[in-house]
Amino acid sequence: MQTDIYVNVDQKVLTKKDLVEIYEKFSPRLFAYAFRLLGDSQLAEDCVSETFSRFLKVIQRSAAPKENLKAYLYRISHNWIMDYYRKRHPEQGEGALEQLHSDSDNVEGKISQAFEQQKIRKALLNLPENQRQVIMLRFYDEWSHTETASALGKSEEATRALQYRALEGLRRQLIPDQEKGKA
Amino acid sequence: MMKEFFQQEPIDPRLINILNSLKDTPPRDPDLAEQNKYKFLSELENLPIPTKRPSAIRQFLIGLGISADTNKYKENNKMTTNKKRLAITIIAVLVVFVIALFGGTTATVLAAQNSIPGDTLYPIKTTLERTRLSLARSTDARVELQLEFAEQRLGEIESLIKEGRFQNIKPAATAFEGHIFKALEELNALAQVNPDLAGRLMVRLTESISRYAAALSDMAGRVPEPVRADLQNTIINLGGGDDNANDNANDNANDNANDNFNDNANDNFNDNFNDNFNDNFNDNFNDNENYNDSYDYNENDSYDYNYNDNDNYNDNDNGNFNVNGD
Repeated sequence: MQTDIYVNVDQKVLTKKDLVEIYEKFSPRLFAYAFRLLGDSQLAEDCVSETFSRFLKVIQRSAAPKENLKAYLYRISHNWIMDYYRKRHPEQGEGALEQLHSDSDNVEGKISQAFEQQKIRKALLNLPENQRQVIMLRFYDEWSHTETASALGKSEEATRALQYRALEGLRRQLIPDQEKGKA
Repeated sequence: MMKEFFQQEPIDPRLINILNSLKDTPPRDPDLAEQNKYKFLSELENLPIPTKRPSAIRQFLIGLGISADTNKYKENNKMTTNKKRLAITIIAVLVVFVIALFGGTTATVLAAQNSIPGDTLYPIKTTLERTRLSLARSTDARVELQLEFAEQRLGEIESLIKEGRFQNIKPAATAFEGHIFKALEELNALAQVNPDLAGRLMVRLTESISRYAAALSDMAGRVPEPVRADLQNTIINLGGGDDNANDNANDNANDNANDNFNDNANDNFNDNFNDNFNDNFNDNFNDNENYNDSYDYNENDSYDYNYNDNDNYNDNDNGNFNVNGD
């Protein structure tokens, strides 16, 4: 089902070598995932680091997930991000702007892009939890419906429904009413 | 499968455009990424799990609830005496069976004792070693055994050189490193409970290691180039082991990391998003009332893989959407 998980976690013994592979495979993706929601490289790195730290603790307690390791890792990351927003005010995470300083050309364009991204981020954070999850996994991480459904513990139809509603929610937030008719 | 139930519903392309601007993420700061990886590897190194995939025999033993490895999963720690006894009986039966197969005298066991990597009887030798390890009760006994086995591997490398069987040297050297590494791990664990004893054993271990390093560099001078590099690597790894187990551990971890480095991060990026995204939109949400749209993740520390679906958020407004606008 999870076609791109080549790490065999069915083994009775998950070795250190396996875990290093898992790290190499998933840390860049989890970084991208975290960055999209946090808008800040440093925070996204913190999230990746904490995700794997928690994951290792789980492994140590022999509670390693026997299946769908990928969903498991994303879930830990997602929890971390949501914790972050819960503890701090949702308006934080304007860090995208910090990414600009190194690029001197087309600053204006970059700033407007950063604002645009921040707008999307806010819209995503305004979505109900599992609608946001569906968009993050389906759209941004390009998971299949099957994978997403299994990660969320829902049926595929329910996942599709969530996706539909999530997109509607985003459209309502991101595309002003007066423009709707023009399309 | 359910396709016929979903009418195709195009997504507003403007929305796709907007959402896409969050798709690309900046490259990771190499220093931060490296720092993170280092942190992960050091945490990993302190985990009491095996470094490499156990051999078939070891897996068999683990399956029975007995592992020759001193580091086990917790569940394996829960082995009962009965299980252990059963495992030992099975091993004894196997050994007897193998002996019978190869001629049935103590000479066979002796021959196995003198076998070197690549010999038919060599697996018997390593199995016996693992059995002895699993029966060793105290840490110092296990450290002693690891050192004894390490010396065995050195002797085997010497014999392999004499016989010109260079291709078998690398596995023997790896096994040698494994024994030293495990001895260090044992000492590391022992240092928590009995620092005095750990200190005394560490002195002994350090002496042995410098002796081994000398022997290895002598051997490295007598083998052809690729194998020489293997042996020199082993010597370098031993050097890391002089100071403390963690140094050695990190060396090993980094080796593993480099071996396995891959750049699959982007392999899922493609632009056929629309292909799999546009299809099958459900526009007949007759069951919307039944969806609980908001839930919190399980907040406790166990990450037990279950969503809490209990928040009663109802997303009732879907019926009002008209996708095609007014």
